[in-house]
Amino acid sequence: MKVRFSGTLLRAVDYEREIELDAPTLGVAFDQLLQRFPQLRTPLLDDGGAVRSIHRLFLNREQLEPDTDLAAMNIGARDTLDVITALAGG
Amino acid sequence: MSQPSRLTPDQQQFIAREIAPHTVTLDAEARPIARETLLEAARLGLLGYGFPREVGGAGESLQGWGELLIEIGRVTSDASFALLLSLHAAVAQDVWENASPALRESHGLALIQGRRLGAFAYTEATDAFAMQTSLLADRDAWVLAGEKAMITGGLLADCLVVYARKASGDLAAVVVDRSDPGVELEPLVVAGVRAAGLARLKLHDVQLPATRVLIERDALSHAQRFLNQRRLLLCCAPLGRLRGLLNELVRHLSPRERYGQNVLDFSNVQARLGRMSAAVRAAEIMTRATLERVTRAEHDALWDEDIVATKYFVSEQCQRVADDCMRLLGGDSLRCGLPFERTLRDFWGLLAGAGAQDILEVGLGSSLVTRSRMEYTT
Repeated sequence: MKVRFSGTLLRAVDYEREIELDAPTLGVAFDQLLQRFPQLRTPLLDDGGAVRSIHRLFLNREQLEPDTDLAAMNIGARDTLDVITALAGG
Repeated sequence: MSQPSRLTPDQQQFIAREIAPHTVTLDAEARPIARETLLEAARLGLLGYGFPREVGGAGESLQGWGELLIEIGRVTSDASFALLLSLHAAVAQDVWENASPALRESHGLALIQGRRLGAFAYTEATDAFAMQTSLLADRDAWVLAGEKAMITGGLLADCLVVYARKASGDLAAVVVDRSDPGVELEPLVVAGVRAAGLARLKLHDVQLPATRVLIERDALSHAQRFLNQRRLLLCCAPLGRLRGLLNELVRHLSPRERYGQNVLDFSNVQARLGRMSAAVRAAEIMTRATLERVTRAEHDALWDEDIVATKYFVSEQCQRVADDCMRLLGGDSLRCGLPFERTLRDFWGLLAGAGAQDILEVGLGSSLVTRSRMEYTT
């Protein structure tokens, strides 16, 4: 599968806009990402290991609902996950 | 036909008596509006207009609250007053809705009833992922240390919602009293909204009981949710001010003659006024449409692009129309005591408030690019 980042998270993946992974589920894909980019953990996940709400996830262009069980979600080699992050200060 | 006023006669008299006469002096001296004045505004129902009736509010919708702020912006040139009203109300509602029962009892109720004033302490001289203020566990309590660069209403606040990084790296939000040992608030002298009590906050190992935690996990997302709605309400009073400013400009120019002709009859003056009028009307239409949509809860709670675009557009029109006033007024534009130069300075606050304009541009542009890439590459 492919994972694509944009915005402020790009820095945490060494500006690799598109990352190829070989994983059966989204949970395994996230584990692989965090192993490769440990600095991604804090900006991507909260204390409980959940993806922060400021990141919107799109699997093959379909936005995933916030309560989706990402860890168990099966994925295939041709799937693409887009992570869109938008935030602004106060 | 003009709409009936949302302000009660008491509220109108309060603004005429307690706000309008002091606006020029407070701005000139960079002195905050008196805390007692804001508490009186709360007693008159100006703070709780959008709060539920069961906690003493007027039970108005978000749209109704936005319309009231628009009207306040139109009837008074004091941008600080409307800014503080909308900010204190937002913080009070945030604490009320998210607090534990104990925190509601100790802080939430007094905030929502307007007996105490709150402020939002988020901004540091860095980005959101590099926040330095720390919140570390100390047995069954917390220790808060760090510095917040700019807090609107900080000098007037009884308590502040402070965002800080835990040892895990995640952000939490806690409620801090200004009277807590180790809390230091310093006045900031700024170019606009000079009566809004802007402050820098220093936190010297402030000890907090566990009950003061408002948001324990992912407070970064919580802050973005807060700011999302803030962006929309932030626009409302300036929007009303724009309409008021346009009326004041025409009134100010009406007796002025050049070359034996009233300047309002000059084609170039009318053309500029026409551009200004179009800008104000477009901003009004856009803001009201977004208020309606958010009131119907059809928006993205964290980052709504209609809200972002509305805040961006209204803020740009504010700069442009205030600048146009300066151009049409000639030398009078610089005179302190007239509302024009002060309003221009007040509107500068919109360039940074609830997300800097340039950051909002990047957010909208980045989203457009990403969605477009998704369309043609998956």
